[in-house]
Amino acid sequence: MKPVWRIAWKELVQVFRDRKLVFSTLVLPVLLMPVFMFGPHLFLSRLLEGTSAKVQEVAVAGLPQEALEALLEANLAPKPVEDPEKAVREGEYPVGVVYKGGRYRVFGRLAGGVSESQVAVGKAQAALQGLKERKVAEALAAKGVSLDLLHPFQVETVDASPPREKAGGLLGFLLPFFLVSFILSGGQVVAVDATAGEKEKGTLEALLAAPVPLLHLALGKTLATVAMALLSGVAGLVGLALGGVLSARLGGELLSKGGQVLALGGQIQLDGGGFWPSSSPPFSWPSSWGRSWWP
Amino acid sequence: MISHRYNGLVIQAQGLTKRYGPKTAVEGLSLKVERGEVYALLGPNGAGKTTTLRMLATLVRPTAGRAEVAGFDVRKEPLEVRRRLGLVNGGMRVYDRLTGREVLAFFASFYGLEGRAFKEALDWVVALLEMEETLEKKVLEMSTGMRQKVVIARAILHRPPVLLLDEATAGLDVFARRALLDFVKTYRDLGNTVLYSTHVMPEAEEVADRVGFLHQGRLVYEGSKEEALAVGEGSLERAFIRKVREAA
Repeated sequence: MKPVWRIAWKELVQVFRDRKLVFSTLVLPVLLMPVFMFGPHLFLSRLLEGTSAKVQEVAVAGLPQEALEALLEANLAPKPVEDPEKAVREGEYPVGVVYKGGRYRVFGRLAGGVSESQVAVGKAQAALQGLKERKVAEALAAKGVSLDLLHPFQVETVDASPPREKAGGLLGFLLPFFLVSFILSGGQVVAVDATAGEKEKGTLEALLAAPVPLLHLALGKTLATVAMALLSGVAGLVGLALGGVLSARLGGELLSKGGQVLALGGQIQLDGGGFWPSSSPPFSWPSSWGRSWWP
Repeated sequence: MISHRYNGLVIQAQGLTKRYGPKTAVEGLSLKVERGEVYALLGPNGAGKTTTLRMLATLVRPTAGRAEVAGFDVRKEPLEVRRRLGLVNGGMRVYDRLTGREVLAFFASFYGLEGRAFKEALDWVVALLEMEETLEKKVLEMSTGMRQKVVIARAILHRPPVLLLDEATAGLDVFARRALLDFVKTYRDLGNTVLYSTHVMPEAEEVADRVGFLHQGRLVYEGSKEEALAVGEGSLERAFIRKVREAA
């Protein structure tokens, strides 16, 4: 089995002496993981928070006074226009509301994902829903009927997941995905360099002419590929930890008893006990590990 | 020391054939190369020289026929054959990001040359090829000639009794080419056998003891260099053309 180790050694030395390769397989995951995992969340949270607090103008047509007041209470500024739908489509207003024939129609530009329009539409809908509930309550009260008639019982859903599973949260799905991506890309670079790369560079012939069984050649190259994939996975985890620190500093929660805690949909905990055992066999474990953090 | 199972003949081939689908690269090639001689296999591009050498080096499996190198069958005992030969071809390279010493240590380990045995082998090959300056340099930083020396050193570090050279001077400058031709004669003088494949006739005229003309996968002529020169009235090129026309 000595040739297997020698071949793996050669492949790894070649990789570690290639700065571009080291950067793309080991440094990049450390840098990208925080960006991928926490950047979009932090960006969107701040965007949504800012948009919710801001007063948005609403293009309105045919709205009764009580609806206008409800919109004002919801931090929206109604502006009468002839055609609210057109005004929203052309980007003059983030949201528009039309009242006609006993029906409120709320217009927004909703196809572009999370946007100011989406937030404003949500605010307008909530204001009109509140107005509707208030009017129902007033009508029932006028007829001496209790409001409880509409709510004879409550339905409540409780998340019974164990705390560790809850800790997975959104990252329970994302973490395995990103880790597998880094593991595959890290291993792939070495695998390509060790096979097609050798052929292309003209070094394969010399290796094939050596008295080494093909199986040993394949095993040596596989060993180097797996080692690099593992290192790439570890780099991804280091990036995750780094992202955790950044997230905590940028407004997440910081340090709990179990380790470092990040707030993102749910919570994810990192400490020495969970980090290494979970990262050692990344080829087979990531999908199950993301949601079941501890053994 | 590598053991051998041959007496006079180091390379023997009988009816050696290689087909790639409907295309026949080598057909019914029979060859006998004795110990301590340089046998030049001559032919134009596509004549089947490389395929022949690759079959002898156990890199491709013959479709038919049999061949022995240093007494070992290329089909049945490929690892034993590889232990007893060195292969150099024109397009062969070694690992760019390793130093000359690392490249040689890497390949030497496959022949059991480690520790003191490797040091002795290294000293021998460095003296033979005058390549002291290549040892601590990365291959990436070497000139073409220096790289070629590392490629050759890798092939002969284990002192194989058989050396296969396939268009080994391709792409070399005049100095590197001269060094290679001198090396071929030196290696032969050490009692080894060299199968030298080329389409450059003057090179064969300089180094060969015997020559074989290969055309469209068939050996059309075989003889000593002197005999071949007589056929071509002092020119191997004329001899080659004459024999190819006769065979056609």
